[in-house]
Amino acid sequence: MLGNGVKRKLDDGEDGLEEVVRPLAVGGMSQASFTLQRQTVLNMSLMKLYGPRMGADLGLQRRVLINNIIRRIHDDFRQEGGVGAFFFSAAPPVAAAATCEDESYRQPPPPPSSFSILPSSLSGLTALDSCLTPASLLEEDMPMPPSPSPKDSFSSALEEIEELCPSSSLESRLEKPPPPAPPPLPPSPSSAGSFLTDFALDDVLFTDIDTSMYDLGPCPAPSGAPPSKMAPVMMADDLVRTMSGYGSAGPGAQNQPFKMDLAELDHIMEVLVGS
Amino acid sequence: MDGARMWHVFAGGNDFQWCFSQVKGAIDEDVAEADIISTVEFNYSGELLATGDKGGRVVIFQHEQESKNRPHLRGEYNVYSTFQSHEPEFDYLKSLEIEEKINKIRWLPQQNAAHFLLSTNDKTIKLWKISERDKRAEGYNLKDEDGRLRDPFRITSLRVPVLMPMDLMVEASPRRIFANAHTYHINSISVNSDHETYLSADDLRINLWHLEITDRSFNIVDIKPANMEELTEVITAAECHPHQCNVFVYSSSKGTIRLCDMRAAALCDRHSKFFEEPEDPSSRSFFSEIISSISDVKFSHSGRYMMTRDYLSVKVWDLNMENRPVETYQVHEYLRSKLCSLYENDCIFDKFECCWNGSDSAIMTGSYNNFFRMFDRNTRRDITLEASRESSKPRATLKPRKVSTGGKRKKDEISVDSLDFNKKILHTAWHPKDNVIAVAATNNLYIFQDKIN
Repeated sequence: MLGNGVKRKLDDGEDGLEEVVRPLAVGGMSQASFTLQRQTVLNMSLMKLYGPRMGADLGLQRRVLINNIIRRIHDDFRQEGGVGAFFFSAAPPVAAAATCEDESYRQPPPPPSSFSILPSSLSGLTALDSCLTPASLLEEDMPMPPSPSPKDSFSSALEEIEELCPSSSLESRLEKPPPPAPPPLPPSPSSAGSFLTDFALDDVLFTDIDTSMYDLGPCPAPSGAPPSKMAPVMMADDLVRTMSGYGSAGPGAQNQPFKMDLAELDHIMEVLVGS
Repeated sequence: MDGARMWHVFAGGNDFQWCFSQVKGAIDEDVAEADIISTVEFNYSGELLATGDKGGRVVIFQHEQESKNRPHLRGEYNVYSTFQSHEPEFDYLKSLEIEEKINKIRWLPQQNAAHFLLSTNDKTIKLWKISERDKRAEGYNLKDEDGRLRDPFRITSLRVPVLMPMDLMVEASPRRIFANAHTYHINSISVNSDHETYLSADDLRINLWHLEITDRSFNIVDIKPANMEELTEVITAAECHPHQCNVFVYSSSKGTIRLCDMRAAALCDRHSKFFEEPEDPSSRSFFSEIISSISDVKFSHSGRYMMTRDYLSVKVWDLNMENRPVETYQVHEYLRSKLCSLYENDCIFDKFECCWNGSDSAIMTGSYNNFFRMFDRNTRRDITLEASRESSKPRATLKPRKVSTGGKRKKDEISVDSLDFNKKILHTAWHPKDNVIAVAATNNLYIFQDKIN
């Protein structure tokens, strides 16, 4: 069905090998120039999605197509197992907090019935596509999960953010009740944790890499890849969650301020996304 | 126009050639954004030609009958009516500007003296009535000629109002406004062959409307995933079958086309047919998906075939064969090596449209540098023509253009690097019966016709 379609290959049997034949490397392009071009394409894609000039007027179609390119390159990175995969995934979700004011009103969803008559007065009120966070980017009228709060999702989200933002101290974070529900994990057979162990992550890795060029915004979460055809993908959220000790690490890991910030941001993201 | 000649629409041999007929729009080098033509559409008879622009205006041209003393000249298209179809709006809830740009115009089959058309911007579809008035009533009892109420004491006798001739006036009036049904941007509208309903498609949904009913529509396709992060594909175009009112198709950004039968279920989330060409692994690149994204889909007049336009090619599909197109025509294959720059400057996202000629024997689509391409399906010949002011002398024959593809550039050829990517022909229309074509080049509308030898 739609949404998880992957193009059929001429030879359906080569699923596992399809990434081995690198695009454009076929035409005699050297490995170095392939890598260079891939990096260029990646940079351009990120600039298109999160650069200062673009944003709201980017249509959904372009966004989806650009996102798919980023997903593919990301997949490449993962398969090569290089550092690129890591810092690419770890593009900091700072923009999530920075742009929370832009976060738009999100209406309750139309009933998800299979045969709906759209009442004119209700539909069309859904949120715009001017937000810069990857989740809200594509999420103009996402059905809200049942929430314990009777308030509308946006005002309650704002309140939570206001509570979070002024203090980044450990205490305030710990006093807060845990988020109502952890965001649904992508249908990925391998957990984020196992991915990280593959790379023997340490702090040097962070300091060595200049991620400033990607500070424009968070990287999109490539969660739409169908598990059957593509290799499992890594979401930025997963990574952040893992680094902040959200899922697997022990409570001791949360004592470092750096990781603390990520946890805060992660929580803000959850609130904004409404998951 | 005899049908036989329509089978040979290309220059050379004993056939006729295309020649310049008219150009509309300002000559200035400075192009106002609002004047850029965003859609072109002939009505069913070809008598009227409508354009929409980024300023929300609709201009309708009417075919003037050929004059007796100049029989070699077939009639010209002259402005018949101009009206503001859509205005810019602001959505205060979402802090979002809604552009007035006309995305699509579709004519309704003519039922009476008046003409009807649908026009749409990103969000709202409007049904317009275009009617003529050449008489007016005079001699009312209670009103004077200016429409002011008469003093009752002065009314001493009753009179019968009479219709008096007056100068022809063409009125465009909005009859229906179909709003608030699309969350995303409307990319297609298509009038159904039952002449009562039409569909409208945005990035993720397709709605079915009755032309008389504005406050509800039926959602017939919805591909929005529960989690928008899983979204990897959008709807790019949709069209109703020309004869079977239960059948429609929609294309996707992954290069596939789905044919749905509305009799099968109310929500057509399961397609009846799925048209897809297997990808050629040897030409795979980062941009494979973008260039396979379909920008337009059009049924042939016969209803047997459909044509799809992707970034580099046009494909003709037989509705009875889903696994590959029956014909593939390269539009500007020389751009394949330039995809990276075209991605950088966003040209790769340009949405080129395509159209059939009246007998389905030829197809036309646009390219860059004000070039447009025609393909003869029978002879498999193709031709590149240019819409330019230089060749716009009356009756001037259009010279075929050539782009040099590597190697030495021959005389009269233009090299790929000197193509002007700001001059693009996205919208073209072919007269339903005659060899008359309308080509939108930025803010100019060119009309070409065959040269009768």
